[in-house]
Amino acid sequence: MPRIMNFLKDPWKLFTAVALVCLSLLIGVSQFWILRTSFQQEGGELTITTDRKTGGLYVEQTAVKGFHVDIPDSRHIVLSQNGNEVCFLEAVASGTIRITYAGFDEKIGIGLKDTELILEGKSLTLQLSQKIFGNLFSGNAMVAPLHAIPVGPSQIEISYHPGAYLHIADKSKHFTFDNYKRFLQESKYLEAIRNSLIVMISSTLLGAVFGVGLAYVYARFRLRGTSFVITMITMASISPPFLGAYAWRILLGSSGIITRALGLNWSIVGMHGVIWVIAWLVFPIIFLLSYDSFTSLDHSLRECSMSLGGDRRKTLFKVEIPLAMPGIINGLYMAMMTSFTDFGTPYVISLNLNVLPVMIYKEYMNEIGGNLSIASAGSMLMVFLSFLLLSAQKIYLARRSYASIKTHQPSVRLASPKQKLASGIVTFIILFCAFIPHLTVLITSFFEWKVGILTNQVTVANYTRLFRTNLNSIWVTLFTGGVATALNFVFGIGIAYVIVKKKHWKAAGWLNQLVMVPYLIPGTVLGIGFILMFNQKPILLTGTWLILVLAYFVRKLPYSVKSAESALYQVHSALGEAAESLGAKPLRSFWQITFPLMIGGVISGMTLSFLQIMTEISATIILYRPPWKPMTAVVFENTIDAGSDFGVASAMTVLLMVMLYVPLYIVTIKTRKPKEARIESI
Amino acid sequence: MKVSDSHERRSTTVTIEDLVKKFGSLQALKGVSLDIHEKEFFTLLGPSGCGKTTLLRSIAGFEKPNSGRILFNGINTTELPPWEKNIGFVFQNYALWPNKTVFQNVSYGLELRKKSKDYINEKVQWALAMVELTGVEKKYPEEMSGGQQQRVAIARALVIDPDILLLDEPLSNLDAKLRISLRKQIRQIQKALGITAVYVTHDQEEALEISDRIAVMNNGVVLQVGRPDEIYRNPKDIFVADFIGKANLIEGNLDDGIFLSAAGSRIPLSKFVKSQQGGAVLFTRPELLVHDSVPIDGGIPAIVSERFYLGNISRYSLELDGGSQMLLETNKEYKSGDTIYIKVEKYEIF
Amino acid sequence: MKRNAVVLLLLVCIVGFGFAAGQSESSKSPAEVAGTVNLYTPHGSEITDPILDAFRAKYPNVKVQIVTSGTGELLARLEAEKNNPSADVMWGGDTTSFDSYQALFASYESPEDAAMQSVDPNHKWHPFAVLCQPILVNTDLLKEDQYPATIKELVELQWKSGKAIALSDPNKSGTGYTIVSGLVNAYGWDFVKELVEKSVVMPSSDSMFKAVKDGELPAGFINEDLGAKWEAEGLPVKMIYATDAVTVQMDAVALVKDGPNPELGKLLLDFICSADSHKIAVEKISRRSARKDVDPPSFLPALGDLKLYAANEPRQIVNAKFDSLLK
Repeated sequence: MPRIMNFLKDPWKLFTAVALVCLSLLIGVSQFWILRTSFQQEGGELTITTDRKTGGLYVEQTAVKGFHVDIPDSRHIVLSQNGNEVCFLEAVASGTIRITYAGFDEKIGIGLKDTELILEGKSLTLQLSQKIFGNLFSGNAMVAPLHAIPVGPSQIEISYHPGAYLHIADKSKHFTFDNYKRFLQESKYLEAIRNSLIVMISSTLLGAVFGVGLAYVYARFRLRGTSFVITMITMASISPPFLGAYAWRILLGSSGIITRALGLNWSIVGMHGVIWVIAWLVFPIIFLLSYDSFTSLDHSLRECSMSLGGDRRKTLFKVEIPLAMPGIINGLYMAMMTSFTDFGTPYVISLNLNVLPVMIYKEYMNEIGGNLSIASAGSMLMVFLSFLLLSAQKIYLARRSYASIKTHQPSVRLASPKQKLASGIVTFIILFCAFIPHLTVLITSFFEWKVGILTNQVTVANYTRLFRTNLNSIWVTLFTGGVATALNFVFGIGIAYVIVKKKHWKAAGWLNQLVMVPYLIPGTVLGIGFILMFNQKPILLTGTWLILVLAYFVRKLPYSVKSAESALYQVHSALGEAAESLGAKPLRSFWQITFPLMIGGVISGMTLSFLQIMTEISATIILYRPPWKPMTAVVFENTIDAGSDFGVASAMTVLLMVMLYVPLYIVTIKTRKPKEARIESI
Repeated sequence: MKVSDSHERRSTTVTIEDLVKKFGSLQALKGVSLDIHEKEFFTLLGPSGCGKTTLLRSIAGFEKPNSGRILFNGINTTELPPWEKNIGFVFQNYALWPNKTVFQNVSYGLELRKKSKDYINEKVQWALAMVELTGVEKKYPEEMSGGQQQRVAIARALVIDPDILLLDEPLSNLDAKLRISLRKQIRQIQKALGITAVYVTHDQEEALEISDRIAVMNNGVVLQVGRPDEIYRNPKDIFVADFIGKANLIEGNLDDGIFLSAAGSRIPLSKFVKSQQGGAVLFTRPELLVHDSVPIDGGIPAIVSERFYLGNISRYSLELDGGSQMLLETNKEYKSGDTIYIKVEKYEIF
Repeated sequence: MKRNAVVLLLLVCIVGFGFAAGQSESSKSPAEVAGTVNLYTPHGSEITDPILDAFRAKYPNVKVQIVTSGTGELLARLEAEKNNPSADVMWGGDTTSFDSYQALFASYESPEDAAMQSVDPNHKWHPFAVLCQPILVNTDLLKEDQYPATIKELVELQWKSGKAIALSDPNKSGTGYTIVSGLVNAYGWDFVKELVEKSVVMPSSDSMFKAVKDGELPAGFINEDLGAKWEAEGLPVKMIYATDAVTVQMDAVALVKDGPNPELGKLLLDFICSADSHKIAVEKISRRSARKDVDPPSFLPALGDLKLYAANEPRQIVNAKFDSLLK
């Protein structure tokens, strides 16, 4: 009893418990399903054709899965699973086959589901179907359906069309490691892993060169337009999915606008293009977190180094960068995760580049049933690789858990005219590159598109069509994004607080791991997991807005927690403890002391998270159903199809940008202003 | 009635019984027991990592010990969280809230206690006056010096009339001169209010100067508790001897009133009473050696190898016959290379 | 208190919207039908709009909600949603795809079936259009004398990277399956092996089309309706009906089993299958109708003039063999 009382006395413990339960349900259950699937394989399948003259049977060996097939002679087939004979097939006559189950005296139930024949035994359940290829234009000949008669113990005779492909499948799930073995042995999967790693590292490094470099310049020098640049980069952090890649392709593809104008024999399509586009996608994240880190450095540490004889370069590499490292590492980590799980860019800007998210998506979304098991194994492998990254980052941050109380503001240096010019040029180039997709989309939205091709006709028809047909999507996006962000705000701050300030709790460790899990899950996979989890009673959520909200909430929770964590690392725990020693209970101390000190950082993080929700695509395309169709779904529907009208997509994107950038601009200005003002006052 | 006269404060004794605290595999406190008397200025002294801060935070309630008890005035408070303890806690890094003014910082605890506005105004004035800060109410912490900030932090702790004042290395972020003046001020305030104070420091000089009693800690264990002079003169432990002040510690063997150092020097010990024999460590304070430039009764010769000028006195490094080193502190003048004679009269054998 | 409120809010949401998922409309009088019908289609709006506009004109009170995505994605969605379907009609995708997913669709004997060139004996799918996949070349990248006239010549095409042809993976694309299986039908697997060695294998048919249109590769295959439009718009592409073999498939439409609004679904399906909308399809979107009574678009070659090859092996076999070629 006293233990329980003590537990209830501490609201943070209660919160931790609630958060653990909710998240375990949302993340754990859906992921468990995928994990289970990754260790499952359907029993097997084979396709049999019949020699119409002799009645002999033929099995296409490359298309056999799961079973081991022995063919002693052309009239007999022996099926084995895991080294045990399970079933014998014998051609009785042309179009008649006798199936004997290996288990003696097995009672076999015969069922017909649609056109499929089901033989349900104790040891084995087979599903049989036949497919006849006639003339495409006279295929209306009625074919007798499969017919089964029991002829003895464990024995059934099947009559089928002798010209048909007879498909026999054991669809029951068997436990197996094969999916993982295949993944780690077959070259196409290994190549996907390799490509993913190359894309992740290269684009993050490229993004870091722009991001960290620019962040340092703006954190250290007093430059005109600093807040403008920060605002612009914050805005660049939301590039609508697909369109960034699409715009670069319009510009620099083989027949792109620029490629043609310059007569280049070059194309951005390919791995280099993927790296390039993703680098621009992740560079704002790196910049924003690095900038925050640099500006919150205690400048006395820097001066200390300089006074000890360190020149500027030494100070930069020995003092400033190491001290800002937690923030930079956070940024790099987030960038790596983004590039690792990005689906839209490689999908649009590479012909056949096999990266893990695209491969998994394609294995899931397959017209012939897909290979859920392989896709699940791939997902789990992605989860594992991401987990390694996460662990590395965690170990790094834990090793340097210093926090300084922000009593000093960083010093800003006046830049020489040369430096001003150089930084101006670099800034211009970086911003220009970052906004090329936006500009391209903006301009093309005012041109007429025909069957996916841009014409030179100026028009507003794209917008009028958009408003006529898709206005509802705007409300859907705002509403679902808003609710999800509100949830993220509450849970993000709370969880970050528990993780940072109660690190010695076991539950805090669990929470920390759990919260990061969605980061490791490609959105598509999360979507499928949600569909499977919420598609049955008692919780029937498919087709509602709530399933979108929950998906967005879970998917962006890591971002929210990370940003709140970053903000919290800057608030020394003594500040909260001081209030507690004066009699404030933990919640009050948090609400009155810690929260106001971290809110600036949190708001910028939540803004990012809100924007990312509004531009979320990979889970959305699985989960949305009319009438709850968000704007990104409209963009998606109008982008991917080769013949569809890209005009609506570009108009919708422009609208999306307007809706995102206006509030973002206001928030950015508001959260940055006080900082600026204080820098001025020193 | 003036608020400053209000004596809601009780004088508090603290009893700590067999306190154990673990952080994972690290055992920060290994069964600590202490009695802190009322109105006492009690210092926890030790090197960093010795567990002194953990002990202080356990007293405050920030850390929950794994076992053992903490009693305030005989009442078990081990399980009480800090916000139910009525303590004043002063942090090493001041922990002032940068977004609040000095007044808001100091008045926070009173507002939590739902005091009237007038009471708060007067009491904040009183607390700031205690730490000799006035007219800074509207300033923000970052506009003040480190010493001023720490005094605000002390005022913030005192304003709620705490039962006990806990200070966690409050002066270690300040410069030397300020440290000395502020520690005197802290001691005066403590005396004036008659409040029990527990003070954590790694600075033995600071501890010796302001404490009523000191507990020397190392590796999660209390090695010795006593008045500053007791601890200085009669350390019970080789660690204490070494940690407090300057010490000559010489390893060797005892043989019937003669100490044979490991290096090979022969040191006769006067007034040797113990019947101890065998391996031991000889401890003396440098300023307690009997010495002269001419031979003295029972003394042994030593060569002055180096001299350090300390202002009022000098410290000499001596080399004994056989090679052992010793330090001598005195205001007497010797020159480097002189042969002098010393005698060990006040000493401890460990 | 705050946390309680959050928990409560969550609970209310979960419970409330669990119940609010479905919606139902019933219709009695055919003239005054009202309600919402949900359509899944891989077709872009350029194909759906003309016919749906006509449908809306006829039934002003019926709202059509559309989900557009790849055929594979849509079928995967239907599969995932089968316990709680939200679609009434699936429009588009070749007949073999529908055959592979029979369990998702309802048997429905449409009054329009009789007019079709082909009928599903199980009445799951109903033909919509006949679709050939001619060769598509990029006219910026190839000179006229380089254009392949036959599939054989296509495989001989020289290109700097060695791989000149865009080909979508039959494992991932229905069009890819039609092309590969059709070419196997014409020339056998050994020939397709040569083809694959000269091809960049794409994860979807859309990316195959775009690769040629955007000039990333000089040649590939295209659905003829899209190719015709691109040619008409003056894009740098040209469709070539190979004289030795042209692959062909039949596009279909089907009623989703246990959809939320089956009556309206049937209404929409019948409308899509009607002669009127097939005429629209021919005129506005250059598709060959699957109806016997509707002539193909004038600018497409007559089917009788082409050596047509349809798929003749089931997907499992085509996929497995294609996979083994890639290894």
